[in-house]
Amino acid sequence: MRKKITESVIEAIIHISASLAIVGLVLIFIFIGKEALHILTSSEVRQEAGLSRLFLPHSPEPGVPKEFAWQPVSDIPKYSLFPLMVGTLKVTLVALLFALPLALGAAIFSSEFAPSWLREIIKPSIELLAGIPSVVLGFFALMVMATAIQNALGLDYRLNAINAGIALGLAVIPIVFTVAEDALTAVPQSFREGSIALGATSWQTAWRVVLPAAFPGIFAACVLGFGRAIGETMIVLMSSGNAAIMSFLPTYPLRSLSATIAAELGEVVHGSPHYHVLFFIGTLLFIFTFILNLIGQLFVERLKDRLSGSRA
Amino acid sequence: MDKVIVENLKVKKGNVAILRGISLTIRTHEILAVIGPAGSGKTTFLRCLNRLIDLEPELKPEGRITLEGVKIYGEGTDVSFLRRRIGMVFAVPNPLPMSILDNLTLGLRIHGLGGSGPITLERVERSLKAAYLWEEVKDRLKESALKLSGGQQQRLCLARSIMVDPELLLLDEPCSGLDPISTAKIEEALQGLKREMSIVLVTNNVKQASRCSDRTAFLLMGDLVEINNTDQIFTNPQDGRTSDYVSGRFG
Repeated sequence: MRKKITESVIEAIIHISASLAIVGLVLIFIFIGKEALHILTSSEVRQEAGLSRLFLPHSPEPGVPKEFAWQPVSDIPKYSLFPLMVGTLKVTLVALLFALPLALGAAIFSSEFAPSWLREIIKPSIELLAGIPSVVLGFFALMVMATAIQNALGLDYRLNAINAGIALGLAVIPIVFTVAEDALTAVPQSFREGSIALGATSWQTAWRVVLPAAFPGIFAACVLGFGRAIGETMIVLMSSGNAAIMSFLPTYPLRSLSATIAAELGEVVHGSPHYHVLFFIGTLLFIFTFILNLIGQLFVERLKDRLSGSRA
Repeated sequence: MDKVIVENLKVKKGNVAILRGISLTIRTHEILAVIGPAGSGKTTFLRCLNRLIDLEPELKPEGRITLEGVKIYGEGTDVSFLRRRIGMVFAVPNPLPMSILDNLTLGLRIHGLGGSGPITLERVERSLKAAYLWEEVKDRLKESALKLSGGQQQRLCLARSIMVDPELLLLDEPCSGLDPISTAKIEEALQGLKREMSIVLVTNNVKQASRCSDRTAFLLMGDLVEINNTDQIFTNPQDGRTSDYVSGRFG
């Protein structure tokens, strides 16, 4: 009887803590969403920073050509999110171009080719990268990497999307590596043996059998890496130059959505249009990463189904 | 005619001997059954023949195995080509997560022998018929192989391994997880296949060995106790341990 009571108490505690996490998440979203909603509801905010101002080109004064500009604290505040979105996508793209080949290559090497003793060194070492605080990575990119990259490529700007993207890539690599490596090692050994017994080399086995079998997991790894890159703040804030320039060139400085919030929310006038726009940016990021994580999870489930054969 | 000659094959794992000097021959167009209790080294013996043992670096085979006079463990042996000549079916069916057709043509594609076209389809049909699976899957070749039942999966694996025309077929307890009807189909298929190749059938099932093999080898604790015509092994074994095992007194 006594055992039964402790069991139900423990069960209740676990229940409550699980629910609290979900409630917390929902409350955060409601709070951010509520502040962001003023963009749509408050006429005062809408006049200065309505949806059309956020997303469409706008001319600040009559006679001045229409432009995309993020200058929220100038005499005539300009709230175009376009430069920020371009900056975010630019730096994310560079990060993924840098990180995905390295992370996936390392995952394939570790799971398919490395002897077990080497694998036991590689895996924890790369996963240790995830433990480096992003402010340290940012600092490194700001002080060391930026100069090296500028000199190597002969760039005009010391801080630019290439520098920030590579630094961001260092934060993305461990996530992509871990998920992809797990997906590859989850492929049953019997698949490999079947292929090798047919005369396939290790490469042929990896390419024709293991990779296709693990594809949903590898795709999920890429999606999660993308989500991490979009949401990462400190690295980009420190290593990108943080200038909201409307340019698609990776050699120019940039400002990302997340870095904008971090840099401006501390000094913004409470309740001003600028304040609400920052919350709107936060909502966008929240929805974006939420959807990406959802897609990632879905593909991990598909991997399980595919490998167990219940739905292939 | 001897297809494979095994001379003094030893395999050690650390200080533990798994095989302690096996010498035997595998003849053309015969089914050689390898029987013995669990842990007697049957599977290890089989995996030495197509060098699948290479996947386990802690196991070091010694001795000499020749396939038609050519050393399997010689310098510069083309392992990929060797495994094309020596097919294998595993204890647990291992169809790959792709369509039935892709499973069958994988071997052809690996060895650069094509993988589509009418000749390939003819080959697919021939292999499936030889594995007694054609009637059940002929209309669903594009479906996933994982949707098949366990017995069908194992026959698919058999068909897959004979797609590249091996000269020697290794079967590692191929019926251990199957129902009697699937088992009978596989045994029937083997009788047809031995006209084209040699077959080594490792089995836990003594009755299966007596039903469908020409000769039988009895392994015990890594030793080859006896090898002889199957009739002899089951009716007049020379070694007391063999007669104990085949009559079910131990093992």
